[in-house]
Amino acid sequence: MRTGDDASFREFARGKALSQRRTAYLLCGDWHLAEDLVPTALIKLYRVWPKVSRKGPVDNYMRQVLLRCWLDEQRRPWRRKENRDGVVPESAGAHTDPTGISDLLLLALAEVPPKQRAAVVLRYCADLPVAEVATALRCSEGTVKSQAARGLEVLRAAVTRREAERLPVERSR
Amino acid sequence: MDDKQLVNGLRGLALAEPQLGFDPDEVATTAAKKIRSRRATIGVGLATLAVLGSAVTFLGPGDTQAPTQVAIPSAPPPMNGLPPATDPQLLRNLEHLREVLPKLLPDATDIAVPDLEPGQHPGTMTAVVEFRDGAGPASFNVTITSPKGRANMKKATDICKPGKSPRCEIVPQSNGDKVLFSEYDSGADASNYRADGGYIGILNSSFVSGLLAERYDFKDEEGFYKMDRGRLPLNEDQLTQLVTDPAFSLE
Repeated sequence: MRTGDDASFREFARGKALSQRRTAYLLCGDWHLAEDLVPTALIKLYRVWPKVSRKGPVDNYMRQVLLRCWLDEQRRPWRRKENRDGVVPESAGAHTDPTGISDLLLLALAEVPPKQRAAVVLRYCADLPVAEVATALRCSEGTVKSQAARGLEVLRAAVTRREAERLPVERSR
Repeated sequence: MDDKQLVNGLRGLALAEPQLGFDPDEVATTAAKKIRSRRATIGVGLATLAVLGSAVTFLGPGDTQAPTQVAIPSAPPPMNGLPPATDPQLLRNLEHLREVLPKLLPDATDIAVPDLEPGQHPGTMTAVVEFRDGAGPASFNVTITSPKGRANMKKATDICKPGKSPRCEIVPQSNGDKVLFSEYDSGADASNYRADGGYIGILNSSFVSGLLAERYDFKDEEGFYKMDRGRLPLNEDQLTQLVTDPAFSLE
């Protein structure tokens, strides 16, 4: 790779590492796995960087690669050792969500099937237009809308169930 | 919570983000090293082939001594730099896989089963099969475990749930094995929970890995590497034949 390409890749990697790890976390619900997925995706991106970066913004291609890495990980038949109960390991410490809504949504998000979750995360959490989500997921805009709608449906059901489970515990305090 | 509240909640998710645990510059350096080492490997391979080609050319019709047979590896070695697994049981399964694949995939070319990396768990092996057919490059994973290693595998109820997945069907076999067929958005897997306690599972997805797409220049009209080949690598008959093959086993 030419020096200029290498430098532009490094700049991209530095600038996007945090946001990509956040997307990865929202997809997989595990900070440790998110930390693995992003470097893996970046290494794959590096190989095609000269071609891809000349075609325009790379964000969507990076999302595609990240999604592929996560879906590949999803397909592994063995269990990972990490705790997948939604508790954030080694987090920053300060509780950033006093209302508990984010925690509730994150736990519920883990119950949404992978493709629907990807559509929900990219469409709503990352606030991307439908067309960009369709590019990232390599599907039609109609499919994005239907997957996101189904994902929201599953999410709502999970939130409702979790809220109902939480209420008796809070009342008993 | 209605849809609007849900969407607003998703847009304003508050995450307690830990500090970044990797250095993006180090990732770039690692990526650059991997590319250099890959090129070097390919260079050595081409040089070896060139030398072999010259040797064959020099052996004219007058030469009475038969040329030494040279086995050209059918696939690249594991890329992580670790030595391939040498356990005889693993090698026996790998050899059997290499034997049955040409019959199982009569339309496929470039069938390759790279050497095994050390197992992820004791009593477990996963082989990656790569090939090419009319739909493009393809790959699938074959995981075999011993009865002990099966404890590390997902249970059937963790893989899919009837009514929630496009397909989640357990088909009992005459020998007591139970084969689970599970389908999802872009794949259809099979897992055999054997009566003897062992396990063999196949991940069968239409996804195309970046490496394969690159190797075969498998691109869409815009010039991007394709992620999906649109057809599963194995059909149900082929899946069934592989997962119920009693020759695959680990003690």
